[in-house]
Amino acid sequence: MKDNNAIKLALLAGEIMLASGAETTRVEDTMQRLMDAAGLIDPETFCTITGIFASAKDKDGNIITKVRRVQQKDRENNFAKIAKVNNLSRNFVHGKMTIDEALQTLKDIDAVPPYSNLVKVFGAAIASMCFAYMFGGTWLHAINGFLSAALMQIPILIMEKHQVIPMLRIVAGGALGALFALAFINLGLGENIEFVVIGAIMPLVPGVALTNAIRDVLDGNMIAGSARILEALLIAVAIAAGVGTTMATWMSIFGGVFI
Amino acid sequence: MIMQTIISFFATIGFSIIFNVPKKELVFCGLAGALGWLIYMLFDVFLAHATVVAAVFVAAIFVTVVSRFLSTIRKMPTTIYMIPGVIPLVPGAGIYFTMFYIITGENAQAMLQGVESLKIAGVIAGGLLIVLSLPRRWFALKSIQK
Repeated sequence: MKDNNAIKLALLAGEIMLASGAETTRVEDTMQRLMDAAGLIDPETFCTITGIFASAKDKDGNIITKVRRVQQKDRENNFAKIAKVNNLSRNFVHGKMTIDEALQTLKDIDAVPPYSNLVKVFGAAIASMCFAYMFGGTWLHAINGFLSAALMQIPILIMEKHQVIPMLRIVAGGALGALFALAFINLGLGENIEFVVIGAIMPLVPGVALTNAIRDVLDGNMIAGSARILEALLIAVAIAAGVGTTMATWMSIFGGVFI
Repeated sequence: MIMQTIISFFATIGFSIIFNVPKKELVFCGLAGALGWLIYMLFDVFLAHATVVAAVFVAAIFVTVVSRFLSTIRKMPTTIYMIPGVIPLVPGAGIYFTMFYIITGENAQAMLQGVESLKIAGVIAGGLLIVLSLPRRWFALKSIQK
């Protein structure tokens, strides 16, 4: 029973980290350390971006194996959780807590809510505003970027709540971002569409997928790594498809070229 | 340029919020992003012959070094600083222009922009790779000496 809890602990830790956007190597490494520290023999873990497998022997030589599927809907980048699980694993390995305590702490970590939606919308809007300026726009473009990104985030968050698949959310995000940007430009906020649209789509770009893909491939986790590269490519294509749809439609209705 | 650096600081913080970085670490993420962008800008302004790809490469290396130091000093995973830090370098503009030229039917231009974006993504990867493969103790030792 105790050993069962040990593997449960490792799986829960792995699940939280994987769902929060940690790289596969870190997940496997953490799980292995946790199981080692909990006194299991020959712990082995295998982890892709959609599932975790863990197996070990208890003191009597019985093999315990568990599989945990990580659903797409549960995946949300949350670096705070990764940091906390990391900390917990360090404390546990150093013998500062029991298995039950660690399990309870993990459940608490998982229950901590992320930043509120309002803060997130604000964060995305600030980021877009700054990017519109950094790519060479004027302050008018920056204001436009702020408004477009904020308005674009609202439908995305609503879709997230109703569990619309991520790719569709990103297509919609790109399309709406471009639409709002075009609308505001026609209201006189800036002249160059590109600065604003680039700013507005920046919160959607696959930064986490790309960097994690690289780290996974380099660490030899080819399956997880190639899956993440595919994810990054798909996200990029989805953004382009969204923005493209809006711009092509706008051009065919109102005419005009944007550069 | 100073203005740009300050702006990139806030851009990175905005991003960090989307990634749910802990509140106390937001400033450090901003720092990593701003320093990376500063390096990129310096390349752009002072080295007339340097390409965007080269500038991004050096900036990505720099961001990762900063992230690794921050990670040992603040006792947090490197990822927390590194991912928001490289975001300003990610070829968002490249994706946009590729798509734009595809729509307007200028396929040669689209190809050019697409390849350029891939190159930038590639060198970000390369930059991260080089620094991440350095032994951990190099970063630990120096933080103790400080």
